[in-house]
Amino acid sequence: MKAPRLSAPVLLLTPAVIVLAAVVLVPLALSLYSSFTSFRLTRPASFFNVIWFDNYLSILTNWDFWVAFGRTVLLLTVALNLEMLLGLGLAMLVERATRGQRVLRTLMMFPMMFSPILVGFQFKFMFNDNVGVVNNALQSLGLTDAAIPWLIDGTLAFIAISIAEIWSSTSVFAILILAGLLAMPKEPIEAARVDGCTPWQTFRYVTWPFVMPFAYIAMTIRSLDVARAYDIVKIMTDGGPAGRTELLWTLVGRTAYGDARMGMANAMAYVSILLSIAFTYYFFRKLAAARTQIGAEW
Amino acid sequence: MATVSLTKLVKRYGNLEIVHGIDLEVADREFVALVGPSGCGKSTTLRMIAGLEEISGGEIRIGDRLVNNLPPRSRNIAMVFQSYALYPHMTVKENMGFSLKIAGRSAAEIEKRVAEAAAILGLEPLLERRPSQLSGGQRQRVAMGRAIVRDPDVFLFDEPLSNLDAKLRTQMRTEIKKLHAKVNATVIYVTHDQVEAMTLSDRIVIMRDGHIEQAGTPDEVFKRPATRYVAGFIGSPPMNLTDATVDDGKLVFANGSMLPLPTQFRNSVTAGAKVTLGLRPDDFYPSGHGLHSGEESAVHSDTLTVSLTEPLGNETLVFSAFDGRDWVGRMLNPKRLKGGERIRMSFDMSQAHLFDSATGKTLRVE
Amino acid sequence: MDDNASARLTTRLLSIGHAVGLFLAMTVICLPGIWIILTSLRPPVEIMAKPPVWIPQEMNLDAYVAMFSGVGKGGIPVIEYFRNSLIISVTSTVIAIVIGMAGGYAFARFRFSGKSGWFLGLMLTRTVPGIALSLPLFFVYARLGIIDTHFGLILAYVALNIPFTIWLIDGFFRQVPKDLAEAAQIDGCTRWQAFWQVEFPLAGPGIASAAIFAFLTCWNEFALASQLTRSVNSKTLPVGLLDYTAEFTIDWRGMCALAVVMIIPALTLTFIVQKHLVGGLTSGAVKG
Repeated sequence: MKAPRLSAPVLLLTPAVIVLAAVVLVPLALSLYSSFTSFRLTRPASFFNVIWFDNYLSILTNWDFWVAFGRTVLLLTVALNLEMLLGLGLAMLVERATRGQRVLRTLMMFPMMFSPILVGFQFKFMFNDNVGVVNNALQSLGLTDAAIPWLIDGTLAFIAISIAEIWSSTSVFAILILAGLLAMPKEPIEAARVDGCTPWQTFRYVTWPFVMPFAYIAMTIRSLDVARAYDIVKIMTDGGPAGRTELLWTLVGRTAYGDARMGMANAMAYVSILLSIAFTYYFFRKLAAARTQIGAEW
Repeated sequence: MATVSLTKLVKRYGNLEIVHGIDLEVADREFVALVGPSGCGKSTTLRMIAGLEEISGGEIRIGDRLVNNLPPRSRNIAMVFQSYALYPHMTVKENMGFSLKIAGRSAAEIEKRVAEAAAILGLEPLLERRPSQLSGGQRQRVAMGRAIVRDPDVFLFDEPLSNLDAKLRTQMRTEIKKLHAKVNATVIYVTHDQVEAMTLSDRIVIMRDGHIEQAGTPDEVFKRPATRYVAGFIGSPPMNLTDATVDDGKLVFANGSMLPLPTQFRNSVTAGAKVTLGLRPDDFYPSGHGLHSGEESAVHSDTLTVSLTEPLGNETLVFSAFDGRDWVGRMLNPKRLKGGERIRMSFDMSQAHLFDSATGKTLRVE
Repeated sequence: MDDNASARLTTRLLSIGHAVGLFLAMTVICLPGIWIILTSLRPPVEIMAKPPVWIPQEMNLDAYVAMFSGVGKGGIPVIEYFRNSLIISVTSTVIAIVIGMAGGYAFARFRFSGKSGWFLGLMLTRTVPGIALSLPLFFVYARLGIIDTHFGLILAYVALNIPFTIWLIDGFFRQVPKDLAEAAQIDGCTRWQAFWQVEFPLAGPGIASAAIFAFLTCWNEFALASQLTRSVNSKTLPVGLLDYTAEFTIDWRGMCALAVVMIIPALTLTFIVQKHLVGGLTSGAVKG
């Protein structure tokens, strides 16, 4: 009787583990190995030329890499925080709406169904310095005569990319936080109002603690695929012009497929993987903590 | 129908032992209630009988069959869950007929047996509804209907009434009693409510911390509690329990108050023994306002100060201080009393219980 | 009286502010989509006009006609791309759901040692950026000769979807009370029957929405597809979008038309699942 209970979950999880091992873990092990070689796609023999940590050392001393790394972290921090704030605001706006809530909720999900690559094209089009709707609007309103080089200037391009990223992912936060707001019992809020809390105090001490786990779920989901931003950047600027919007992921892609330096690219890829894992792990812990805080079991 | 017998039944989760080798014989067609506070192992025991929890040690037999390792479906039992566990995606009729459908019975037979069970429980008008369209009491009835349709050897009830409001609970209690008389089945009924256990069962099993404190008829556990725990658990309001020392035909309490040593215990205790005295509220009353079930000679009386009264209409609960603690007494044919009033109270010592302070076991010798 | 009047005025102002804020937010959300549809219907001259033409003078379906008119006549092999996308997305979704159902059920119903560690571990495989994973996959696939095949991409997408599918399905099974499966076993079901007769039908809508979510992930994926596909044999719609870009110019109108074609299935499916999707993600938040 002991044996079947032990093996049931093992049995059920085996297919998942096999597939993930075959498609993710084994290739990753391979790429870990190749990150210690001077492997170039054009010269297959170099796959066996082990150079140990040379790739990593040259990354560490590569200024361009660190700029791209810093820019990636900056983009993630700015984007995730703004997405959470805007998502919270959006959720509260929709929650307050007395009529047409269903329609509003459906509209709110709209950006979620856009493929990231589509978002990239769409915003590349809108921010186009010549025919883009943004410049057209600014010029028609007489705010400026010049064509603002949205995707060419480094800072402006960063802003444009952030806007695209935020537009596409804010709804994830908004939907989950709205779910939290709707699931929240009304009595504590009413009690707080009777107790003399201002709307801000009510939000700060009653609403937010309840909604927080939902925000962390959204954070965790988002951090699972932050690298989706690659698609957007790839299309909008592809790291250019001249590396002014280079992110970790575009740099990896260029090094691997443009320069065919696979070994080096794998070393960079590992840094990006660790970055993703760090983000996910951080939010996963936060989520677990928030759950225990409101007395739920995991 | 069948007997159920548990022998040295043990349940462990890892190193933690929840049920410590209990023995219990349930006779054919007997209604047995397992009662105790939450966490006492009563539900775990029931779930082991059902086959929903594995057995860590000991034996379970239903009829003559050892069922230790049989899955629930092979035990021919029915169970009513606390949450009712009705299948939300099926109608009442489908819920009730589900077990027969799984067993591969013909549509005609299913129809017939569901109709019979529905008639017993008055569920005919609800057969096409879904569980979500039913009230709590109706769901409860469907859950019982589902059990009846199976025509099982043993019915298991896991706190079936605890999700109902007080009024409905009383009503359903009566229905369960009638139902048992009608279907005449072996029933094991888990509850934390001693009133349910007393009113429904042929025999009550009081559990605590994974072992059986006492098993007996409602009358036995009420009149002859085997342990101090049972004494305090059964009966409402609970028995007054106070520690005392035996001294020369007297019980001496912590603050020096004294009561005569009940004659029925005179031979079972020696001077200096540490004991716990138990006296039910029925046997502690304002003089002239009690049950007087014992001989008049055994009644001791004392003047005490009333601290609080709870009038219930036909009777009043009187709280009065004895040896520094409030004792609760039951005043029949009540008169008006005020807090702080001095009053003559009777202690009917012929009905008193004595327990060994260390072991908690009764000192009564049969 | 004065206090009451000013309180009423504040309430009034707040509700107006709320309406305006809501309107602005919804505009920002919807505008890009509307702009794409509009552009796909306008002639290129109008799109490129300087100064801009705000009121469309002429609307037609030329872009769509051109797109479907085949290679060489200004179109792209959109039918093939659509077919590839559909085959790859549906197949990998079905496989991922079957595997995810097994895994999700294990997490929802069984206790085993290191459970939360396993869960986190599975989730972490999802965090590997597509572009980082594409490097070794490209290499392995090239060796195995499955670059530019449906099979290769399906396999990758199954792996991509398993973690999230497990998360969602775990949540949906947790919403089905454990009592029900127990009651079914007492009613004479085997564990297997209890699953199919009771738990599966009840978690069904949730599982369907997890399936649609997985489908959308495949349907929209670009980073892996762009490296693992080469030709009309296996190119999917997101990769196909690139066909509209030349060295220095982009056919905005054609691209917008293809974008509309891509969005319509995604749009329909998302609306169907929206309610259940949120339920599955949040079921662990307040009730374990």
